[in-house]
Amino acid sequence: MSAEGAGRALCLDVRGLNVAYPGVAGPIEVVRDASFEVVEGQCLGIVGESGSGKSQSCLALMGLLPRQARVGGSIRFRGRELLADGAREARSLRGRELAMVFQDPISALTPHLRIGTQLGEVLRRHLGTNAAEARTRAALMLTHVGIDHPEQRLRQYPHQLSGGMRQRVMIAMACLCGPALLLADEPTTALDAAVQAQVIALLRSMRTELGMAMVLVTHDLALLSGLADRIVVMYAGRVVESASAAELFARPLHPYTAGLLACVPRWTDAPPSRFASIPGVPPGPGAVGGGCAFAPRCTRAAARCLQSRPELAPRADGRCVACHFPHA
Amino acid sequence: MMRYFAARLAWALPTLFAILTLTFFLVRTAPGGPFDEERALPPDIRRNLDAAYGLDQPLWVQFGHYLARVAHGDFGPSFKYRDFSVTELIAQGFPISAGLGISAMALALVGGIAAGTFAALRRREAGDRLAMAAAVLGITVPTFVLLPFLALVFGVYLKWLPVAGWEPGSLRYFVLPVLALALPPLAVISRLTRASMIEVLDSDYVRTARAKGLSPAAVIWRHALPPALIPVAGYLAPALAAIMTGSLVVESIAGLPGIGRYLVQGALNRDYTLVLGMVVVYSTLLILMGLIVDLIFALLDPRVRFRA
Repeated sequence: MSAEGAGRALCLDVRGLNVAYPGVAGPIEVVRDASFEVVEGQCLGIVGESGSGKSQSCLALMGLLPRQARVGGSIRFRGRELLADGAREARSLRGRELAMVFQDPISALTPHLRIGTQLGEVLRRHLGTNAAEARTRAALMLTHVGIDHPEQRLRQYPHQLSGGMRQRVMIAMACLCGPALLLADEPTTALDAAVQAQVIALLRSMRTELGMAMVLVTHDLALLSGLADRIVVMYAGRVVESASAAELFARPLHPYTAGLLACVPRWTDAPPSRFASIPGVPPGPGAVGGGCAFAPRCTRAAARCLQSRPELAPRADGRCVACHFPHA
Repeated sequence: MMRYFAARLAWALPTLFAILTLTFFLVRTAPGGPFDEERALPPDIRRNLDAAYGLDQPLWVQFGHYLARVAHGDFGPSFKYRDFSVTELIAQGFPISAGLGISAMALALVGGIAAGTFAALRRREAGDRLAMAAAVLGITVPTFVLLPFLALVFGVYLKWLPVAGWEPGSLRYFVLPVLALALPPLAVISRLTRASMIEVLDSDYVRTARAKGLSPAAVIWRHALPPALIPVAGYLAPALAAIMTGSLVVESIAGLPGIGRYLVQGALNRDYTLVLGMVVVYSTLLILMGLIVDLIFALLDPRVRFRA
C-alpha cells in the first residue's frame, strides 16, 4: 500500500487473478497471477499493448467474460468476494455499484431502443424507480455529462447521436446509480482527438463529483498523467510494474515501462523524423515460455532473463517491479 | 415512412397486373383446352361451347374482356366445376386453407424462434446439436414424405389423430396437416434465428446490457431478440410461398377441401379462369406479405424508419 492511499479503505482488491480459455493444446492463459488494488475514490490506470490482458482483467471484474473462460484468484469489491458470489448477487452489483464504459460507443448501445429506455431500465432495475421519475433522473444525468436538450435526446435512437455523444450517454448510463467503481476500457480509443480530450475531462469531473473510484484501461500512457493515482503496467498477461503515477512517470523501473514512456510524443520536441517504438511484437497467448515474456524485446536482457521469470516483488523503496535488471 | 408505404402500395397494382398478364398468356399458349379431356365433342357443340365462353374470339379481345371482369371483382365461371364461379370456389375453400396456412406459419415462427434462441444460448452443447440435427432433418424431408409418415405414426399406429379427412368444426383433422406444413419452415427459421442470435449475443450492446445488471430474460427479450429477428423477417415471404406450395400437397394427401388443390388441378384441366383466380389470390397474399415484412423491418430497426 502506497503512502497516498494509507488509511483509506480498499474499494477493489484483486489477488492472483487468472483468466484462461480452453485451447487445443491445453488452456490458453490470457491473464496470469495479476494483483492490484484500488483505494476508494482513487483512479487506477492499467496500461499495456493489445493482448496484454488488460481488457480481459476488466471484463473479469465485471463478470462479463464469455462462458468458456476459466477465472481463478480473488476479486474483492468493498469486502465482497465477487468470484465466489452467486450469479444473481453479482448481477445486482453490476450497473449499480460497479459500472463499466466500453471502448466503442458506436456499437455499445442497443440500436432499436431509445436512449431514454436504455437509461431508464438501469434505474428501474436497481432502484425500482417508476417511469416518470426515471425519465427526470435520466435527463438530469444527460445534462450532467454535457448533453444539451436532454428531453429530446431521450426520445432519440443511438444512430441519431454522434460517437462522442454516445460515449457521453454510456458514461451517463454507468453513473446513473452512483457507482463506487467505474471501469473504463479504452473509453476514448474509438473517438477522434478533439472528442477524446472532452471525454477524458468528463470522466475526471464525474469522478470528483460522484466521489467514485475508477479503473482506466488504456494503451496510451500519456492519457493517465494527471488522471491516475496509481498505474499498473501489464505485459503478456502479467503485471510487470505497479507504482504511483508520480513515481512511474518520474522514474520507470521496468524496461517495458521505460520503453512505453519513450514512445509518448512530446509537444516540446521538434517534430520527430519517426515516432519512437519498442521493437518487436508482444508474444501471443500461450507462446510464453519459462523466462521473462519481455526478454526478446528488451535491451537490458541477459541470459538469466530467458531462463527464469522475474516475480513481481516489492522492493526496499516500496515499489513493485518484475524485472531482474530494473532501471535504477 | 408513410410516403414510402404509399409508394409500395401503389406499386402493388402494376405488379399484380403484370403477373395476371403473364399468367393469362402462359396458360392460353399451353397446348390443349378445357374441353379436351371429355369425349370428343361434335364440332357444332364444340363451336357453341367455345362461343359461349368467348373462346372463339382473338386472344387479346378475350384478355380485354377478362380484365374488365376482374376489375369488377368477378373471376368468371370455372370451366371444370360447371355450376360454380371461380369466386365461389375460392370463397368456399379459402377459410380452410387460410386456417391451415396461418396456423402453420404461427407454429413455424414460434417454434423456430424458440428453438433457434434455445440453441444459440446453448451453443455447441448437446441441446444445440440435437436441435440443429432435427432442423437439418426438417429442411431435407419433403412435405409429401412427412405427412404420410406423421399419419402412419399418429393415425395408424397410435390412433391419436385421424389419418386424413375433414369434418366442419373439428380441429383434430388440422393437427397433422399443420405440423407437416409448419415443420420445414420451422426448421429454416430455427437455423436463421440461431445464427443471428449467436452474432447478437456476442455484440457490444448485449455486453452493455449485461454490464447494466439486467436479468438474463431482459437481456434476451429486450436487447437481443428484436435485432436477431431481422433475418427471420426477411424469410417471411419465402416462408409464406413454401407454406402455400406445401398446402397444395398437404390438402391433397389429407383430403382437406381447401383451395390448394385448385391451382394444380386447374392447370392440368386447362381451367383457365380458375388458374388465373388462384394466381391472383396467391400473388396478392405474397405482395401483402412483402409489405408486412417492410413494416416489421421498420419496427425492428429504427434506422430503416428514418431512412425512408
